[in-house]
Amino acid sequence: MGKNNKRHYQIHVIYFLLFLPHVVFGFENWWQCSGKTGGEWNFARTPSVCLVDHMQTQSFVKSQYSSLIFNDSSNRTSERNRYMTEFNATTKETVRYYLLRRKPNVSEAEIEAFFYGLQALMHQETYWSHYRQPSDGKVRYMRGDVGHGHGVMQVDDRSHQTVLLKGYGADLVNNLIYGLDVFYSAWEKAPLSSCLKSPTNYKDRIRSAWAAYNGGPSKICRWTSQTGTYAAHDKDFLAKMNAKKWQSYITDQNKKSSIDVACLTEGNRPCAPPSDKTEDVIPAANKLYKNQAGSFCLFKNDHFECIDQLNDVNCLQVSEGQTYSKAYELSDVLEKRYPKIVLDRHKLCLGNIVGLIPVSSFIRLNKTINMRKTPAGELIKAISIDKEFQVLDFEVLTTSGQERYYKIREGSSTGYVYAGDIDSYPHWAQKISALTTGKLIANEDDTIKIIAPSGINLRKLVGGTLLETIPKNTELKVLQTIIQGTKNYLYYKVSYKNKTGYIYSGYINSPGTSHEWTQVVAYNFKQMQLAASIPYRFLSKCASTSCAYSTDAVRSKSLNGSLPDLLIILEVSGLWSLVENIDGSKSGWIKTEELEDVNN
Amino acid sequence: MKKKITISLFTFLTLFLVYNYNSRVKDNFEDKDVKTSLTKNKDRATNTPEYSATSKKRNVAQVSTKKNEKITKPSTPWLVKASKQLYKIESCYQSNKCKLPNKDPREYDYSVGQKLKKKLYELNSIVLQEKIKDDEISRIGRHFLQIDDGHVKEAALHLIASQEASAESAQSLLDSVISYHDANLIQHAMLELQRYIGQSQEQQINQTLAKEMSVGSPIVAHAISENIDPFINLSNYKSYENNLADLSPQSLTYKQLKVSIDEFKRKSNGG
Repeated sequence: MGKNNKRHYQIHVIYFLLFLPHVVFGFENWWQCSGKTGGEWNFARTPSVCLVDHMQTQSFVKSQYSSLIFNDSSNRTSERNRYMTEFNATTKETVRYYLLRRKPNVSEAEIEAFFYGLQALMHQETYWSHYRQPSDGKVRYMRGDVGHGHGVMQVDDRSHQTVLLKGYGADLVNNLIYGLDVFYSAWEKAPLSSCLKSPTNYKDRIRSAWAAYNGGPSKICRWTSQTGTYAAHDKDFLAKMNAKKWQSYITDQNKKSSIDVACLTEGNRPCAPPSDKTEDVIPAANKLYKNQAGSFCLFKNDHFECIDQLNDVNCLQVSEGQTYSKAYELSDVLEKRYPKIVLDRHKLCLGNIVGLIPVSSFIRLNKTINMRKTPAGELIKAISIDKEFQVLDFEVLTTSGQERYYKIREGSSTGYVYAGDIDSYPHWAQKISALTTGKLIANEDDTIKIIAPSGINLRKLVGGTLLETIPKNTELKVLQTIIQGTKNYLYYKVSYKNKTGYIYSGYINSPGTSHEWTQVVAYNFKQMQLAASIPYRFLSKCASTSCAYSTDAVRSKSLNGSLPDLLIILEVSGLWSLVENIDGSKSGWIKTEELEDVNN
Repeated sequence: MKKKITISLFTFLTLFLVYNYNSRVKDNFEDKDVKTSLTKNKDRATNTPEYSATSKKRNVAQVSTKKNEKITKPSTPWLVKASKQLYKIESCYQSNKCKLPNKDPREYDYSVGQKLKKKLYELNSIVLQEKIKDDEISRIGRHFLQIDDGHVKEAALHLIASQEASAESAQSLLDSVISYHDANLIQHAMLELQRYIGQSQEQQINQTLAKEMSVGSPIVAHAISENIDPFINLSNYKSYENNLADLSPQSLTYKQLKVSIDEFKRKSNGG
């Protein structure tokens, strides 16, 4: 994907480029690359690799992809064979899963041809290289093309920087899927091109798809020219296709992947290894089961007790005082034979993890801590010591150590900070009483206002009998805050017309709906909204029309299907205003004339 | 005397603004790097786009022939100039002869895309500044939305968003963004599609969103599910519930779609 062939004679060119402080397209060479390490022009060890740490944590990669890391300290020959066999199994399963999803009626012949194309592509781009662990024990991932190409699929940071920041460079399955999207797009367009006589002429179709992958969509027929600037690339690709050199390293063509490809392809992180099959007719009490939806269940006497996500298995294991080394497949038939109770992760984790701080509480950082997009993911920035935040979510990553992360928001960045383990947690963050501003979730004694256009039902219990409907704009004092479920569903205990009960207030986790139900009354600022004549507007990064847009869009009341964003003006510069929405999740510049009073 | 000064100042300011505006348009759309000799395509900007060839087989370029619209003559001279520049840059994809970086296989196409993006944003900036509404701007947006480069699509999307909603634009958003594989564009495209809720295009929009969640790129499918809330209503929530059967229960797309349907039900009954 936008990278040169990697052939031996190019080493000199690349090393020459390394010593030039130039930038291509204004993009920095070796962007976010530390610990750069060389390699050899052979399968699995192509130069260069950079530490994964900017994009993923070491512990995540080692726990999730251990079988797909090339270990430099092992015997080179046997390690290469092991790695290639595992890589072949994983990519084969990924292609099958991907194609069956995109094209449910795809033929076996097409799956086989597409996979052959991917094998040749991976050879051409990176010699099947992705994760590698040199002698210092720290995992690195493939970077080619003076650092611009990321991962086995060589996703180029000059064109795809946004997705690389979301982990599509370092994370192996994400990298494969992102590259496959581009390759598949070209694969589907190839039969429409002038250079392909039949869609089942797979050899030419692979060559077309790769030419577009390598040179851009307009180069889909590049391989038909013998004289073009990059004709040598296409010839080289054909030679690799024909030689199939990767075959000589694969010791078992039928090996199953050691990772759960379907779980990872569908966006889950982390994923347990593939579940073991079981012949159980009656569920066993000492086994951890995984059902078809990806929930983990224990059988207790006459029913299943389940949790929805893998990280919460750590809370379950602490609660049970037992560690389950693997999960067994729970068939629909067996699952439906017994009642099922879904355990609430908040009760389970808060009741068992020492010192864990609940969602909606407030913390002060006792150290400067890195903020990551996910507990194991992309590094966003360092958050200074003594800063205070509301806890928006938590994750417990290990059972024995009880390592925990809290989700917080700083400015318009939301991410996770590490907060220590069972012994060290007091040194990382401490619970504090309250914040005065920046609350997304109200707590006891705070005042909230009903925002939902038709009001909100007051119920005797959470989800219980209806007592009253509280109309829009009513202000209420919060008596208790309750958070439930994996999406962090929010409920408030309130009193209205002498009746005390619970109201629903949306969910906190992304994309989040709590702002559509209630609002924390903590600001005395005048509230504005986008003028109704404009359906929505992306906020600018500075006070000018020539400035880049931020990723935050604000909606007006004229946009169908959603409520308008309530905005506060933080600063005025000329004809422009710096605004923030009421829960602080969006901020940026907008022309003042495009704002109107919320009461208009 | 005071009056004279005021008039002179006013005249000066007016002249300055007119000059400044014209030079800015001129500056924005003067492109010295793209010195193409595309005599074959010289009428393209104002008449027929290059890719409206009738031949079924062609060298697949950036723009699909199927959905291509006839580009009519832009209504104002500055827009003529702007669109000419844009089409001239676009022709670089095919000609391969523009003076652009070509140090690695992808660099040339990247450069064309970056130039288009820059020009489209410049056009968008003027359109917003001057509050211009013109069908030709929408047409330009739709045309460049078909370019197979996420950066160009992003800028074209902003251009379309600056104009009135239309059936053609809705179709273009579905074909060129929702059914494409760039998840970064989904949030904006779906905000734009919200403008069509309650309009005749709504059903088709829902069908396309449901289809792409099932058979689209897994990354795009998840992005669609994260932005689906505004589209779920009383008349279609059951259809979205049926859509769940087509999805893997362990996918983030399934989980988010289910959350959104449940949330719609909660909203419908007051929580």
